[in-house]
Amino acid sequence: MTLWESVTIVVLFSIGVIVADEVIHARRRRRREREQAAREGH
Amino acid sequence: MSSGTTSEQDKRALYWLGERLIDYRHPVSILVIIVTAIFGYWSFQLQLATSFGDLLPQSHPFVQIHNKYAGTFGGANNIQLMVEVKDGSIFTVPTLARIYKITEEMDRVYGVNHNQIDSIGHRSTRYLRAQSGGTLRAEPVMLGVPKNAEDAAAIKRIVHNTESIYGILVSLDDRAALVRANFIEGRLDYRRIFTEMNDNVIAPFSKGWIGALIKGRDPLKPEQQAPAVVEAVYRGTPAADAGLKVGDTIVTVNGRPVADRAALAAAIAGEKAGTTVTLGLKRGGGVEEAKLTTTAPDLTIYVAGEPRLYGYVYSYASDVFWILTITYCLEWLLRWMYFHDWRGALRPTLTGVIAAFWGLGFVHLIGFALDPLILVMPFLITARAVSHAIQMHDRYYEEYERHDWNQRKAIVAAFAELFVPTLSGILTDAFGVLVIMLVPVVMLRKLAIVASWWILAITIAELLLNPIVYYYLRAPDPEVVMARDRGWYRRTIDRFTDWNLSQAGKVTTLAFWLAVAIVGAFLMRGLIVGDPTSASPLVWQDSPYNVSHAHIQDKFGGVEPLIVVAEGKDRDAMKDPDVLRTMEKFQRYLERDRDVGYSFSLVDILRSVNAVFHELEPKWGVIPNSARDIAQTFFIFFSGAPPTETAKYVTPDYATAHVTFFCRNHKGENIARIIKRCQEFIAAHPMEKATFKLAGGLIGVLAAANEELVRNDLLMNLLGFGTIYVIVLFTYRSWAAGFYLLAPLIISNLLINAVMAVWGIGVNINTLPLVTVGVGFGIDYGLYIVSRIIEEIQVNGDLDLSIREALVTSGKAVSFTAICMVMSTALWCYSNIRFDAIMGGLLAIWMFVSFVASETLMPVMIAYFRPRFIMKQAARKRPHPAVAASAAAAS
Repeated sequence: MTLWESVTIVVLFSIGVIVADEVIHARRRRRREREQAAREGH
Repeated sequence: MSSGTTSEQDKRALYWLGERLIDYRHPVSILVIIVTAIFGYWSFQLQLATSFGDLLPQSHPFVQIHNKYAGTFGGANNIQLMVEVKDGSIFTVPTLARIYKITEEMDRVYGVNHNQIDSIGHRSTRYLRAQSGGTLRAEPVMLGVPKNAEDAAAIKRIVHNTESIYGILVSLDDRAALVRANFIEGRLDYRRIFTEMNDNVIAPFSKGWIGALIKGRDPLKPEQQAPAVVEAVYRGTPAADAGLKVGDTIVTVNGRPVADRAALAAAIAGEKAGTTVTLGLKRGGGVEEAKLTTTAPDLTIYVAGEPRLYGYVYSYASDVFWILTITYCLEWLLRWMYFHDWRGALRPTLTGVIAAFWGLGFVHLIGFALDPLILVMPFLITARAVSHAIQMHDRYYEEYERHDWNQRKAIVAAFAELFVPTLSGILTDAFGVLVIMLVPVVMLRKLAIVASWWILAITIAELLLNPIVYYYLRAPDPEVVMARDRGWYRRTIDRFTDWNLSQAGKVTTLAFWLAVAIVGAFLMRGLIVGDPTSASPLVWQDSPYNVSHAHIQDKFGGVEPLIVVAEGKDRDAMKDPDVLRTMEKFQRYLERDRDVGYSFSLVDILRSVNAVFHELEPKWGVIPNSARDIAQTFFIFFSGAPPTETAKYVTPDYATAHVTFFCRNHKGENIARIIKRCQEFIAAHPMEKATFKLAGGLIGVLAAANEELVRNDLLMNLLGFGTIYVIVLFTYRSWAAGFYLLAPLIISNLLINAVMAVWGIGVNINTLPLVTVGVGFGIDYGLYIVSRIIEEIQVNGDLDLSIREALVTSGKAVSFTAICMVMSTALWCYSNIRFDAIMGGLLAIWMFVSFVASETLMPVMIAYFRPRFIMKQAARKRPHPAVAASAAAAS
């Protein structure tokens, strides 16, 4: 493995983690908002 | 000295500084980015290289003698290549032809000293030949490739009758021949030497051998292509069976073009034995095809010696990228799981990357190159940068919750509260590593400066840039922050802390660490300076290098040179019978040592020439009685040889010569014993016209390095601990604080020395810097915990409660940091470079022990002995310092 291959892998991996984290948190937020809306609706 | 901690006034100043950093975030970040970009640019100019001279203690008298005579009598960078036939003897036409060609190719490898090659195929290996009229001539053993069986038999006869060749360059069982080459130390390019050896010296004559001599490049026109022209075809070989003829040019193998002998060898070596390949032959005007069935090589080539060893190390260096990539990804995942947030994964990376750019850029700036053997060191420093960043990030989240989700206040509070322990930790490491400069080895001194700078560079990202980066990043969701403090990890820490601080836990902890310290101190007595085995500790025991090294040692008794120079006080001193007799006595004396294989000096030539001069009568194999007879005997041998060839035995004015002892291994204890014996002999046998000077060759320079390490090892350890003590003294303004913080480090130091002794890892020039850096390992763990205890006791006034609170907050972050570091450092164990693997394993153990001792022993000691520098802070209760100082700074 060369230096640049290594750099490419770690950069892509980091971007992957950031995107996954944002997606997970966005889903949680939406679910929380839905649950809150449902509670308020009751 | 008054006991106390950082005053509130100081903290207010730090809060003020944190606020101003955020206010002036744009100019500060632009400045840091510009400087980092410049260092980043320099980082990418960096090369992996090893400067042999930098590895030696240049002020040591042995090294000065080595430097003075390495160009003449040979240095420490020798390659030994052994050709061993599987069946029969080497005295067959194809084998002797290959030995001749191998020697010829060896003479063309970059950096080789053309006058310091020993092989029956080299012009400088001569024998005495009686000519008509009774005159004697010293002629090379082989004048060219043998043509027929008579030529081979003649060579065999010469070898068997020449004392300086038989058993030394050809094994006594006739199955192996040795080619020894010395390299010019100013022109050592390990990677190039390794590649050229593989492509041009080894492959064409072993796995790539087809049974035909193929023309190589013209030594006078090395840049010109030399097509693979067949020079000779030997009977009963694949080439003969395929119908190859002298003059054919092999242009393709299985349709793939081959440009020259090296390309042909590479193509053939890639095929399994018994495979039939199609050769494209240019014969006459046209191109024909021939089917050649490869066979298993009939001989094996083994290569050893320092340039070869470093060549292997370089060839394994790309492993580092695998290890770094896996480590990075694993650490990112762990941090993400711990913080539940990508910011927690990213922020420590920024610190690590910025510090790495500053560190690596500085390495290039001062004209230093990275040695593949010290790559663990940059990794370690980066890991420590990441470790500080994790502490800071954890504290930021904690303050974010404490300050009712006010991001700016949380950033400033985290910055101000952790400023002192972070800076103390960094300074301890940075100044601690400078003690390596005590060893007068250029590489170690450069390394100390680089490591110190690199560690100091952590302050840029961790303290200067940190508040700004947090300000730029969006604040995390409150639920993320709270989740970090509620999971199973926190519960485990809680439970363990409760047990550790219970009466039973305290007693068990103290008893356990006392036992560890006693066992460690007992076992570490076996620690060795130098290499503990005859194999190289840099690569694994079963690596191709160590296998080759062991084979050559077995066959030839000893190949690692110790060169003792006999320095004459005047010209012609080496013609004095007394000097020569003392040299001979010296040889016989030291050859009695079990680890000296054999020796060689001018006396050997003299005795054998004298014997030949007297019709090979053994009784004449002695040193002549008068200086005149000696001079005449030398003249007979050296008269036909150019001065460049004779210089490897004696200087042209006959003032200085050498005795070279070929040792069986370079184990530290053996080197020390052999050198001691040399010194005893020299002291007991003073000479009127010359003096023996120690010592050149690999054994000589290793002896010098080992002596310097022994002289400085204890002092470095003491100074390392002393530096830590002084910084802790200033941090907490207490004489006692250092003892509490040093206790875990001393125990881990004892334990690691014990592990090194048990595992047979010697202290040498490679292990020393890592072991020295390790002295400071874990001090930051202690600093973070003690600072937190002080902070808490100012609020609640209760020591036990404060210790508990410190362990479940800062202690939790410490444990997470330590686990990440231990795990990532342990990944080095998978390196093909044994040295990196062992060092990775050792450092992982070291960090683990430091961490566990900082989390268990140190708090228990504080709980038991209730030191004044902490208890004084309990005098009056205050609101939480972070909240109080934050309010003061805001007002």
